[in-house]
Amino acid sequence: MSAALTIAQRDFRGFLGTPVGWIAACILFLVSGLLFTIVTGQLLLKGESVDPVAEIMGSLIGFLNYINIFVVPIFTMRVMSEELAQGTFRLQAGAPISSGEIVAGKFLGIMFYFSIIGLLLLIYPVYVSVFAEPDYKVMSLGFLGLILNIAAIVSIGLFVASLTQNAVISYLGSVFFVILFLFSAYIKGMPEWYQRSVNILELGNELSRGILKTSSVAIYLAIVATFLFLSRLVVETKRWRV
Amino acid sequence: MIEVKDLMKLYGERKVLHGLNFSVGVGRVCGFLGPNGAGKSTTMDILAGLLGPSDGTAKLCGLDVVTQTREVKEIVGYLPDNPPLYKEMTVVEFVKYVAKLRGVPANQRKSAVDRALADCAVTDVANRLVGNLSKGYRQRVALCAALVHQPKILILDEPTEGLDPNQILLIRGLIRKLAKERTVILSSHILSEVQATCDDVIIINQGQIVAQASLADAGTSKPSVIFSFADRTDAALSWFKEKTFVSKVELFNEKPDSVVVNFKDDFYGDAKKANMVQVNSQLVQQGFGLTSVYEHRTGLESLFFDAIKNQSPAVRGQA
Repeated sequence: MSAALTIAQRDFRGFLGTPVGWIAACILFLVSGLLFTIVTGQLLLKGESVDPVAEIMGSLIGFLNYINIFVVPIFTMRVMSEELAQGTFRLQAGAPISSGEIVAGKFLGIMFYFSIIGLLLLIYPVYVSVFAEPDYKVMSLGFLGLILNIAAIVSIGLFVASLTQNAVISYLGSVFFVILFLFSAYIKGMPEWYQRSVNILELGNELSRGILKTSSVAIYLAIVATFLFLSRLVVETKRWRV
Repeated sequence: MIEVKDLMKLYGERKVLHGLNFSVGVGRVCGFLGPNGAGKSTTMDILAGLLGPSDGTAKLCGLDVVTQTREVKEIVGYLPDNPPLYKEMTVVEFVKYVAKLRGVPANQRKSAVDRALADCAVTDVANRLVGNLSKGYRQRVALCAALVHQPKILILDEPTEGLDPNQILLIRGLIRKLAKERTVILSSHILSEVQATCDDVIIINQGQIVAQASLADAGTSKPSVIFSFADRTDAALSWFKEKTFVSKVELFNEKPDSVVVNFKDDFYGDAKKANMVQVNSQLVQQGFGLTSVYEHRTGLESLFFDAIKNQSPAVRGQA
């Protein structure tokens, strides 16, 4: 497991050592800042709300969940496809560690980065709590939903990225795959459990409204586990293909 | 130390290795020589545990690369042809990261990193970003990362590719130094490279071993001698033809005023120096206008071209 942490630590530093990490952070902060201003402004115009804080944070996190579909694959592309293309992947593949540890390390590295971003985004709830009495439970569930959503996209992205060395295909493929994954919920005739399971945006919205179900967390964990397992499989079989 | 038996690799339908058989002894530097696309890198990848063979076995220190991959990776240091480097890290950060990844215990890590940096002569750039270094330095940093965990076997895939002559000399010296304590396999398509650094040579072409020899047998201990003359080259040629200690003499095709002479086996050995002195003084006495004498080591070159031309597996000398 220490090998996974070593990889995670390096990847995290790698994000900050190159423009990628900073640009992604800029995008996320800019979008969330703008959104916060807009939603707060609208709320002021409306003049009344049952729980203004939940409303603000709900729309903020809901929107971030969308944006992440386009931001997260940049990171999975970097740690997998780019490393495969540049040959740095061989450093890990040549070390006496398992494929599982490599995949886990890459997953944790990206999650570490987004956890820091998530922590910094707490500035909004803190700011809000100065002026109003928020429902902390709703708010923390919203953040939990944000992190779980990111985890799901990271695992799907890692799987797609492990299939290709081409950065563009990796990025577009991941975005496309996540969208396909989401929209497969609307295919007619799909069983209800499936429709509920793949619509991670809806699950995230549920959480940000303060509805915590064991099943929704379990669904997230199942998605993450499935795709990390598939990525591990792809990495492992690389030895036997080309 | 390294035992390879019937090693085969298929990429889809295409067979890139057709059953390689070779072994490398402890403390030897073995050169893997072959034209581009001969299967050198594939073999190296298999030995380093990065690629699985389609058939056959490869054992390093008795450990099988297929069933004991992890153990094999622990004792192997591998420098691929495209050196894996993180450009945004400093040299020392990078080497430390590889040491950690390779499982060097925390209390020995600093000394291991320092030693590797010193061995590869990159201590002076330790705090610079890898991305800002010259190609020669990058190659040395990659080599440094390959040996930070003190591997018993070092596998180097074209270690001097794309370097300037000065840097090539540096890397060669480094390889010779490193070889004192470990077994080294290096691949190259440059003849002089192998000649300068290796004890044994394996020539591979189109996925087959076409020749295997220790460099001493590959003709290097019995060089041809090239004599150049001011004017009477033809007279010198016929003079050599009459001598019993000469096995072959002909005009040198690169320089018309010179002759290439191969001596018989008993000419070499302990008496070689005295014999040469005698030949030279006789040439001067004959008044052929001798201008220069030098040894020409064609052994490896001819071995290589013969092997590639014939393409039939042949084992010459002993490995």
